[in-house]
Amino acid sequence: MNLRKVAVVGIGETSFGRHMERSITDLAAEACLKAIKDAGVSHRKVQLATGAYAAQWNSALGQYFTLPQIVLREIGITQIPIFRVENGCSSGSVAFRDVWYRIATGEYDIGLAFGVEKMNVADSKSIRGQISDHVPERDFDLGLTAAGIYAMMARRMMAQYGVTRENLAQVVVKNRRFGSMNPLAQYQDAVTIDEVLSARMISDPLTLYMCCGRGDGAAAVILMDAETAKQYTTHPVYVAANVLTSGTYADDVDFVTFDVDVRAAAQAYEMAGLGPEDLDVAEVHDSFAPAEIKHYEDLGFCARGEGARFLEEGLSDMGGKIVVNTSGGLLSKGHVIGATGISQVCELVKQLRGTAHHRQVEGAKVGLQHNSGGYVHTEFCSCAINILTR
Amino acid sequence: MKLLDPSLFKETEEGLALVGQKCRTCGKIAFPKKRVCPACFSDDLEDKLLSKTGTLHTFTCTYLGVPHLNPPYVIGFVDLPEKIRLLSLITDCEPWDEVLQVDMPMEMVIDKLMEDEQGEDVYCYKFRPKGAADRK
Ligand SMILES: [Zn+2]
Repeated sequence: MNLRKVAVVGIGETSFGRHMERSITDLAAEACLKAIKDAGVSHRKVQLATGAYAAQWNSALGQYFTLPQIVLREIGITQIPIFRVENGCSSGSVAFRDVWYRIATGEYDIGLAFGVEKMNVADSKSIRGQISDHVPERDFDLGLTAAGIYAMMARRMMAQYGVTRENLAQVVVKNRRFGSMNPLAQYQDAVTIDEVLSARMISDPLTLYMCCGRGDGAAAVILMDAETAKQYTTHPVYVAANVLTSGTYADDVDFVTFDVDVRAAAQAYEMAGLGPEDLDVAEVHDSFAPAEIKHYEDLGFCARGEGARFLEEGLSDMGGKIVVNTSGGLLSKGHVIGATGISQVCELVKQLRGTAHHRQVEGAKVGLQHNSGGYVHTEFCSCAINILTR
Repeated sequence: MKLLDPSLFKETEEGLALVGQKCRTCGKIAFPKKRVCPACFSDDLEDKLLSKTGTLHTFTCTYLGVPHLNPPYVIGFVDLPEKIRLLSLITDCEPWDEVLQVDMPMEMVIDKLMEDEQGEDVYCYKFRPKGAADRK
């Protein structure tokens, strides 16, 4: 199929953190309004919208039926097709993909994608219960937690590739330093290796700081086909590749990689006609510190088993080959499930526009966004990747 | 004995064993049993008892765990000869950080997992280092 070129023309985000006093509708409306103003488009020109939220642990408050319609009504967007999507932690990226696809195929010219979550309404017990008994292997009953998944991966990486606890801490130190330069991030303070290593143990070898916190917040983008975008901006950011795929769930692959990420990256590079050597910046799903090291390898930033060295040599830090998670990543922002994917896109748009201030990667032209979602039996369920160019 | 999920187990002369499926068309072994072979979609399937020994692919000691288990507890992936990777609680391994090694041999035991809402014990499979019983 011949797909049209699509551009990100507007971005909008709330701060990520504790917003106990605000409704989920208000958070989402703030991000959507900011994105529309950033795009300089009339709200009446928005032809479709898709909103993402997982809301799994918010059942006590109801499941937020038709939340996107309720949100967009607050800013006068009515009488258009509006969808809700859910793909676990990659929900936001799926909203983005939905709008991207409907514009790329020519169905619409201007659309809005947003993601939102309120994580602080639930007790932590119910959040830890997110891996539940609809899984035939009964992972939750057997004691699996999200931290446990990546703790087991870290242990295997340590045995197989010599990854160290210090390497895991280095991921946190880098990302929290970037987070301290991002006024929207939940955690505004940098941390030291010693602080990370001596923090409370969650699931060995992962300490508290190696596990992303949770947060409330929202992020939104306005997408347009490239021709329409010219009417609104002189600095569009183009979607060079958009990929969504699901897991393989292999029983016989060393638990140091997710095949879903390897396949998604290969598809994305092919679609963009670009390779990892062309990337300047990347936002990758660092829900737990070892994930980022794994992603370097799965996304082709370095060879298999070289992730820790890529980190140690500063190749993912400011001044390195591919500067990773300049937003501070999930480790600084907190994981705002539905909003995470779109927030990653927003950071890359700032980098490619040259408006990322103190954390700006000079001359950034190509960025990769990577967002994982869900887990069942040895692998994440969902992987979404965008490659953005200016 | 109340089992977490009786469909995962089969009674044998040597006690409870885990039971999966083997596809008569392509030979693929899967666990737990499914409606079709996930490899070739055949529904010509037979029960396949799984080995009670395997190797420890990786593990972690969890201090902030699921609400029904008392932390800290140790979980891991155990790889069976049938090329099935099981998530399993690991038992009889104290001190875990000295005893457990990646790729070490393991053996299955049936052990109490938790209590249900009525206070009745619920049992499930667990794995322990091979020969751990002899060391006790
Ligand atoms: Zn088959």
